[in-house]
Amino acid sequence: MRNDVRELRTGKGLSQAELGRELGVSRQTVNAIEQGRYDPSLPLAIRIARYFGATVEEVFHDD
Amino acid sequence: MTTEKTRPAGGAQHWGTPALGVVAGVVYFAIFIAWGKVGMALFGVAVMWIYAAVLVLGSRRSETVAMMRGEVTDERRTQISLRASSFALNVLVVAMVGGLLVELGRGHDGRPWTWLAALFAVSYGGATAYYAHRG
Repeated sequence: MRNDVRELRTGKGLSQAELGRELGVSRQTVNAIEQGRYDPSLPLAIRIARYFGATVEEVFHDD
Repeated sequence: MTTEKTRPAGGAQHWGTPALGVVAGVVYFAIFIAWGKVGMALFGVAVMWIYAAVLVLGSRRSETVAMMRGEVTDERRTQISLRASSFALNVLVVAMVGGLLVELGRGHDGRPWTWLAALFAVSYGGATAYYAHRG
């Protein structure tokens, strides 16, 4: 699933490891989400969206 | 549904597998020494201690090694662990069926493969029923 996590993360000046710490996941998991290799669960997707002050639909795009 | 963070790897999760490797090495060593096989004793303890050292030293560089160390710290790693366990189980089932067929072909009653197959069937059926009931 396409998403804007990388853009949102770099916009905040965070590394993947730092975002991972904020979300409670590994750096590799942040990388996998950004590259579209892993679709997060609904709870994690909500956590990511809330962290960036957005909705799930604004961060993740099912197209 | 909770959106709480996954907890980071704690002490037991972090050190449990390497510690088990060290202890297993000592056990191997003691068993082979008791049988008077010094070479096998040294080989056994070396293999297990090297395995434990690789887990400790390699877990920062490799996610695979970190997970083998027991650092299944988030949902993606949990999924990877479940898939890897499922794959390994399938390999074991193929080996089990192969062993059973070989034993039956030799004119034996198939033990211990028949017992293992029965254990697998009962535990798989029971676990499926339990998790299906839980949703």
